Amino acid sequence: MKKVLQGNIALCEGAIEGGLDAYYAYPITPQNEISAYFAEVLPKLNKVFLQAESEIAAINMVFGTAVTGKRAMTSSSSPGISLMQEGISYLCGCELPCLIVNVMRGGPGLGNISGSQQDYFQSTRGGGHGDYHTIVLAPFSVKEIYEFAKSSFILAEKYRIPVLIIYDGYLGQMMEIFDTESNEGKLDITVDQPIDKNWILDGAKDRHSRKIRSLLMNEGELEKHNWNLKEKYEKIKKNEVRAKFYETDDAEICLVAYGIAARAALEAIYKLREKNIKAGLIRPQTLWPFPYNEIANLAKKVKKFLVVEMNLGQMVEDVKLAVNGIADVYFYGRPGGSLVSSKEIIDYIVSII
Amino acid sequence: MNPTKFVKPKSLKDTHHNYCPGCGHGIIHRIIAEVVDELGIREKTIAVAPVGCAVFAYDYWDFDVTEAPHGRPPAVATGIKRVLPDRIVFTYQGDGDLAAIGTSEIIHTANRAENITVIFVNNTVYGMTQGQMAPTTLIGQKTLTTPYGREVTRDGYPLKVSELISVLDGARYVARGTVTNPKNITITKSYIKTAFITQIENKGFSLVEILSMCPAGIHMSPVEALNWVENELTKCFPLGVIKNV
Amino acid sequence: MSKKNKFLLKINYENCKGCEYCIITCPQKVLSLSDEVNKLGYRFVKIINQQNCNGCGRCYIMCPDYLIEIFSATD
Repeated sequence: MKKVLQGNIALCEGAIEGGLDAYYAYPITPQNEISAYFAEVLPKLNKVFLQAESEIAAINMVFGTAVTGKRAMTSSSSPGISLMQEGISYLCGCELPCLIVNVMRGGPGLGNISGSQQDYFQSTRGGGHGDYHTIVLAPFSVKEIYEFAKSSFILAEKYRIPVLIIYDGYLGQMMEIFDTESNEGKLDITVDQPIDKNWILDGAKDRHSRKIRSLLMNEGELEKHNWNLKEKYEKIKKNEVRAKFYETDDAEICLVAYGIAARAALEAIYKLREKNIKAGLIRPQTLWPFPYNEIANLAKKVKKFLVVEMNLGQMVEDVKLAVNGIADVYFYGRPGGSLVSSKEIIDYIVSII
Repeated sequence: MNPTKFVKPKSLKDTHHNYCPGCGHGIIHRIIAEVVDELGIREKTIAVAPVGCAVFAYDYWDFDVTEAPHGRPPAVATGIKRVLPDRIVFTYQGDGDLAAIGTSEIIHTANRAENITVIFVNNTVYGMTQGQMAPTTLIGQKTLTTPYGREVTRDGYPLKVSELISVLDGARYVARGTVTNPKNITITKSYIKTAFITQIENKGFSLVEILSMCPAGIHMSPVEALNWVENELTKCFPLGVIKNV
Repeated sequence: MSKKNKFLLKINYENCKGCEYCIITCPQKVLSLSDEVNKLGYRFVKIINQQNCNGCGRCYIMCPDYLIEIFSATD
C-alpha cells in the first residue's frame, strides 16, 4: 500500500505492525507526533497508551511490560534519553527486549529542538553504567523508519536486548511517499528457532516461580553473566550488521554517513561523479553492531574516507578503528542541530583531493 | 502430630534468608506470603522488589518477582499491571526507595489510581548502606549521616508518606501498621489483606506502611529496636487505617 | 507423672539468629536463649518448657526468620 507519512508517524505505524502492546512516554520536542498518534490510535486497538510523569518513569514502565514478555516501547529526544540511561542499563542487565526511540536534537544540555546526530556515542557506547550494548538502528528515510520499527521487536526478542532506533528531528518531521509492500529498507531478521519465552513473569501457574534480576552478588556470578552477555553481543555482531553501499566499487574517496547526513552525502557523491570525482558512500543502518569489517575491506582499495556527521565527530572514531591506519580518514560535521548540505560536502572534498 | 495454622506459608521458599538478627523484613515477607496463600492468588501474583536489603525478596517468595531500579517499583508495577490487568501486582519498598528517590513515581502512581498494592517498609534508615538518614528519620535521631542527630533546620522533618498519599483522589486504601508484637502483626496482616482485596476488586491504588525494625541500622539490639519502634516511632507515625474508600 | 504435650514446637535452631523476639513474646516462658552458639555464630533459642506450650502461636508470629512451626498432638 502506498502511503504519505511523516517519519514520526511511520514509526508508529511500523511499531503497530510489529506487534506493539504498550507505549509509555513523556512529552519532548521534536517527537511529540508519536505520542499524539499513539494516544489516539492505541486505545482503539486495545493496546496500552500511557503518558508517564517523567522519562524515568516511562523507561521503567517499559521495563515492567517487558518482564511480562509483552512488546513495550518508549520514544523521546536526546535530553529525555539521557534520563533513561539507568533504566536502559537495567534492561540490558536483565536482558529484556523492548524498543526505545531517540529522535535526536541538538545538545549538550537543553540545546535546541533542531535535528541532530549528537547522541552517537551515547547510543553506541552503552550510555549508562556497566558493560553493555543495545542494538542501534539508524534509518535514513521514512520507509526505513517504518521498516526498522516493524522489525525491532523480533530483533529485540531474538537476543533479549533493547533495540534503539535513532534518527534526527529532520527525518522525524519529514514527509515521504512510500510503498509498505516494497522491499526497500526491509530488515530481514532470521529466526532459526522459536523465540524462548520461558523467562517471562506472568504468574507462577503450572510452573516454578521466576525472578528477573541483574543483581548477582555470589562469587563469580556477575562475571559469568557478563561473559554470557559478551557471547550474545558477539552473535549480534556476526549476524546483524547492516550497511548500504553506493558507488563504492571504483571509489577513490568513500563517504561514511547515516541518517539525514547520509542523504546529503548521497546527493554529494552523484554530483561529484558529474565532476569526474569518483566518490562512494557507505551508509551504516546499524550503528551497533558497526560495519567495521565492511569498512576495513573497502580500506584495502579506497585510500580516503570522509565521515559526515551532524556533530563534532563521533562515528569518525569507529571509522578510524575500522580503517586501522591503512587509509586517511577525514571528518566533516556540524554540531548544534545544523544541517549538512551536499554543497558543503562537495566543497570540502574538493579541498582534500 | 498435625500442623496448626502456625506453619510456614506455601508462598515462602525454604531458602533461609540473610537479613540481620531482628530485621522486620522477615516478618513482613511472611505475613504477605500468608495473605497471598489465604487469598489463593499465588499463581497470579507478580511482585516488584526494591533496591535495598529487600531486593533479595525474590529469593524468599515463591511467586514471580522482578527487581527494579531504585525508587522505580511503582513505574515497573504500572508497566506490568497495564498489560496484565488480571494479575495481582505489588511493590515492596523501603523508605529510601519510596520516600526519597522514588517520590515522583509513588505520587503519580497513586494519583493515577493505578490498581496495584504498595507495601512500604518504614524503618527510618537506609539499612543496606549502613544506616544513613532517611526521609523518615525522626528529629534528633542519630544516623551515619546525622551523627549529632537529625536537625530540622538542616534536614527538615520526617516525611509522613501515608498521610501524603491519602490526600490523593487515586489512593483508595491507605493504612499504617507495625510488626512489634503479635497483636500489631495480626492487625498489619489484616491491612495487607484489605489492600490486596482492594486491588482484586479493581478499586485502585492501595498502600500499607509498616513501621519496622532495623536493629543493625539504628545500632540497637533487636529487643531494644522493637521497643523503640513501638514506643517512639509510633508517636511520629500514628497507627491505623488512614483512608478506605 | 509427666504432663502430656498438647503442642509440639519445631524450631530450626541452626538458622536462628538469637533476636529473642520469641522469648520475650512467649506468655508461658517455654523458650530461652542457649549458652551455646550455632553454625551461624549466634546464641540460639531453645525450648525449656515444652509441656507449658499452649499453642498460642505468638513465637511463630514474631519469628523474623520463620524458623518456628507448631503442631498439635493427635489423640
